Amino acid sequence: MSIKGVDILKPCLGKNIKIGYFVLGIVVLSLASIAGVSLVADGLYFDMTPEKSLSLSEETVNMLQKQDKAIVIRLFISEKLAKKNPELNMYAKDVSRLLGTYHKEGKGLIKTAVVEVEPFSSSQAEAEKAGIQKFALSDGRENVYLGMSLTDERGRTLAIPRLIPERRDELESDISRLISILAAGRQPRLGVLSPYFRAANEKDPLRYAENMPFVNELSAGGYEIVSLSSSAPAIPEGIDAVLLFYPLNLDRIAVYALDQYLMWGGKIMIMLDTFAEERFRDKEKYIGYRSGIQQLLNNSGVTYREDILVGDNANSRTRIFDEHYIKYPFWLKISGDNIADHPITRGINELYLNYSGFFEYVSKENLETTVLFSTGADSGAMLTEKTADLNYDNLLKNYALTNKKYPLALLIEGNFSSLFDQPLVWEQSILSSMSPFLKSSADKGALLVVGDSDMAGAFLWDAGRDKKHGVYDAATISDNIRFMLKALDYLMQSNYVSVSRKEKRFEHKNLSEVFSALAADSYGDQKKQITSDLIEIRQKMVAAGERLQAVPLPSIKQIKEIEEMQRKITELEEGLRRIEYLTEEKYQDYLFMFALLMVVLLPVLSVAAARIGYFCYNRYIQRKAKEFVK
Amino acid sequence: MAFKDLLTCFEKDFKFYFQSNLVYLAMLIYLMLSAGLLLYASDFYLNTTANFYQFFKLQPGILAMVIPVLTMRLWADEYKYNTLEILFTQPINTAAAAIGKFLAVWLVVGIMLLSSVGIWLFVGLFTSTDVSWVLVNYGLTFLMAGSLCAVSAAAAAFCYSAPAAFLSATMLCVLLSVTGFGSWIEEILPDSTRLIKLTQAFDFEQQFDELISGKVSLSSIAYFVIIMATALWTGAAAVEYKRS
Repeated sequence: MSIKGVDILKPCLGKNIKIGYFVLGIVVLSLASIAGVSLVADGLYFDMTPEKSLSLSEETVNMLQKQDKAIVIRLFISEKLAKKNPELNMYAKDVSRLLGTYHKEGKGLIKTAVVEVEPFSSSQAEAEKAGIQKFALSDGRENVYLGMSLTDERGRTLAIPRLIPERRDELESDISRLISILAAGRQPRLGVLSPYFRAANEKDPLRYAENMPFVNELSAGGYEIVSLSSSAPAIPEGIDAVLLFYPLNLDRIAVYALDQYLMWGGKIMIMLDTFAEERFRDKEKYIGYRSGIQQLLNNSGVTYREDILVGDNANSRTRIFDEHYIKYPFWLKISGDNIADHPITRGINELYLNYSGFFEYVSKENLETTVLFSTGADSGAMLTEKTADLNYDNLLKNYALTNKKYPLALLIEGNFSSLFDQPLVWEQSILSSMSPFLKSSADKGALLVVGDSDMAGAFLWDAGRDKKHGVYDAATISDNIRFMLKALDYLMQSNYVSVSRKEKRFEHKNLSEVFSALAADSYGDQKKQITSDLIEIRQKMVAAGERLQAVPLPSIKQIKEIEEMQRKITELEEGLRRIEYLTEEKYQDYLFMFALLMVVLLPVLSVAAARIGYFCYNRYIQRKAKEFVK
Repeated sequence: MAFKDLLTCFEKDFKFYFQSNLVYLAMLIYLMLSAGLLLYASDFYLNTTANFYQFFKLQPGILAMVIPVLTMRLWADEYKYNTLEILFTQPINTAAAAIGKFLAVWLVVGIMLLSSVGIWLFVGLFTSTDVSWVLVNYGLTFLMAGSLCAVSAAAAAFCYSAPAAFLSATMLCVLLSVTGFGSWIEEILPDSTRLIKLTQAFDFEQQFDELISGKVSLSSIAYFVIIMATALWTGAAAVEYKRS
C-alpha cells in the first residue's frame, strides 16, 4: 500500500517547486475529478426515502418513454417561502428533486424549470397566467405561490394550482397524469347522467357539480365532462363513455338510450346505491315507476340486491356507534385479496364503501363477467329496510353473519342483447337524428357496475374536504377516486396513467403536537367536567328563561335563580380560561424540560459515559499489564 | 507504506486524544451545540421529520467548528517539540503518518457522532423515526465528517502553532461547508443553467443535503471521497515539504 502521489512528487518538491503550485495543482485536479464524476454519474442514486418518493413508478417510466411531445414543467415558488414557511420550502425542494427525475427519464423531452415568484414582477404575472393559486401564509399577511404548470409544444397549459405537503403521496400521480393528458391528443368525452344534477339545475346541471367534488376530479383527470339529459332518447354522438351516478327515478327513455348506446358498443359505468330507490319506494316519497336500471342489468345476467346491505367484520372501519366503539360492518374497507388483479384494480390498495348492496350474476352467452372487488369471507347481511331505526341493539339483532363473499363491483364485457323488442321512439324527426334501433350488439360494449355510489362521495376519499380549495388540495384517504379514474380510463381506452398512491410508512407527530396533547391531557378531566357542567347549566338557563317568559310577572325566586345560574356560568367560564392558561403553561414547562434534558443533561451524561468507558478500558489494560509483569 | 506503520501512528494519536481530555471537551461542545441549535435554530418542534433531517442538516456547520479543535495539535505539537523527526526515524513514511493521524481524528469524530445517538433516541421516545434512514444518515454524516477532518488535518499540516492551525482549519472548513456556491451562482446568474449545475456539483452543503434527504447519489459520495483524498494528499505533501 502506498500513496503514489507523494512519492511521485517527492523529486519535484526536492527541486524546490513551491508548495503553493503543488496545492493548486491538486485542487484543480480534484475539481476536475468532481466535475467529471458528476457528469458521468449523473442520475445514479439510491432512493432512501421510505415511500420511494424520489423514484418514479413503472407506469410513469413507461409513459415517459412512450410519449413523444416536448413538455416544459415550471415549478413556481415564492421567494418568501424559504423564510416564512420552512415546511413548505422543504416540500418545494422535494418536488424539485422529483421533477429532476422526470427530466432524467423523459428522454430530453421533459424540461423543468424553477420560477422564483417575486411580488409585482413578470414572474408573478406568469404564475397567475399559468393558473397558479396564491395563498396566504399562516400569519395572514403575505400571499405566496407554490404550484406547478405543464406546457406542451402547442402552448396548452395544465396546472397544479397549489402544491400541499399533505398530498405528497399523490404527487407523482398528479404530475404523471397531467403529462399523459398533454401527451394524448384528443380529450375523451365523458357523459354524466345523474338525477342529482338534474334536480339541482335543469338548465345547467353541471353547475351543481361544484358540490360534487368527484366531477371536478374527473375533469382534472383529463375528461371533457358533458351533462346528459335524462329525457333524451339517445346518447349524443362523440361520447366515449357514460357515467350513471345514483340512478333514481330515471326516465324509461333514458334507460332506452343507455341500452341502445350499449348495443352500439358504448361503455357505461353505473354507480348504484341501496338507498336510491329502495328507500324512497317504501316511503312512497317519490311517485311513479322505478328507473328500470335493474331490468337493464337483469338483461345482462346481473341482479343488484339493493334490498340487502352487506357488511364485513374483518374489512370494515371503526366508528363510535351508539357510544360503542366498534368495527362497523357496513363501513367497508376493501383491500388485499378482495380486490381482483385486473387492469382497472391494479395498484388500487384500499376502497371505502358505506352501506353497499351486492350483485348476483349468471353467465350469459357472449358476455364475460369479472368481479372487480368483493367483501371478504367474514361477511354478513341485513335487510336495507332495517336501517330505518338502526341502533346498536338493532344492529346486533338484525345483522347476521353469512360468511359469503359478496361481489361489490362487476365488469361485463362483450356483445349485449337489447332489453327492448322495438324502438321506444317512433317520431320520424327524432328517429332520423338517432342511430338505428339494434336488437343485439353491433360492437363489443362494456358495463361496469358498482354497488355503492357513496364511493364517489368526498367524505370517503378526501381527508381535507373541508378546505374546498380545489382538486389538488384533496389529501386522499382511500383509492376511491383513483378507482373511478382507472375504470373510466379502461372503458375509454385512454392512454392516461394513474399511478398507485404511495403508501405512507411513517405517521410521525411533531414534538409540539405531542407536548400539546400531553399538556391537554393533564387537565383533560377537569376541562371535561367544567364543559359538561357548563352545558348543563346553560340548558337549565334556557329552560328557566323560557319559564320566565311564560309568566307575566316573574317571582323574585325565579330572578334570583337565574342570577345564580349566571354567576355559576361566569365562574365556570373563568375556570375554563384558567385551565387553558394552565395547559399553555404546562406545554411551556414540557418544552423547557425537554430542552434542558436535551441540551444539558444528555450531553453531560454522554461525555460521562465516554469518560467512564475510557477509565474502565485503562483499568483493564493496567490489570493486563500487571498480570503480564507477574 | 506498511499497514502496521499506519496503525502505529493511528494508535498514538487516538490515545493522545483520550489521555489529554480534549475529546471530552469537544464532545460536550458538540453535543450541546447539536441539541441547542436543533431546538432553537431549526423548526424542529413544528416539523419533526422521520429522517431526523434537521439534526443532520446542522452537522456540517457544527462539525466545521468542532473538528479544528481536534486537529489543531495534530502536527503543531510535532513541529513544536521536534517529535516529527523522531517519528520519522522509525520506518514510517509521511503518507502513513498523515493517514494514521487523519484516521485517529476521524474515529474520534465518529465516537462524537455516536454519542449524539442519545439525542435521537430521546426524541424517539416522543415521536416515531425511520430507524434505517437515520442510521444511513449517520453513516453519510460520518463520511462528510471525514472530508472535514481531512481538510482540517491538511490545514494543520501547514501551520507550526496550534492556534494558527485552529484558525486556518476553521476558516477552511466553514468556507467549504456552509457557503453554498450553487445558490450564489443561481442568484447572480439565474439563466445560466449549465453553470448553476456545474457549481452545484462543487457545493458541499447541497451535496450533503441531497444525501440526507434520501438521494444517495454516487456523485455526492464521490465528492466527499475526492475531497478527503485531495486533502490527505495535500497534507502529506505539506509535511514532506516542511521536512525537505
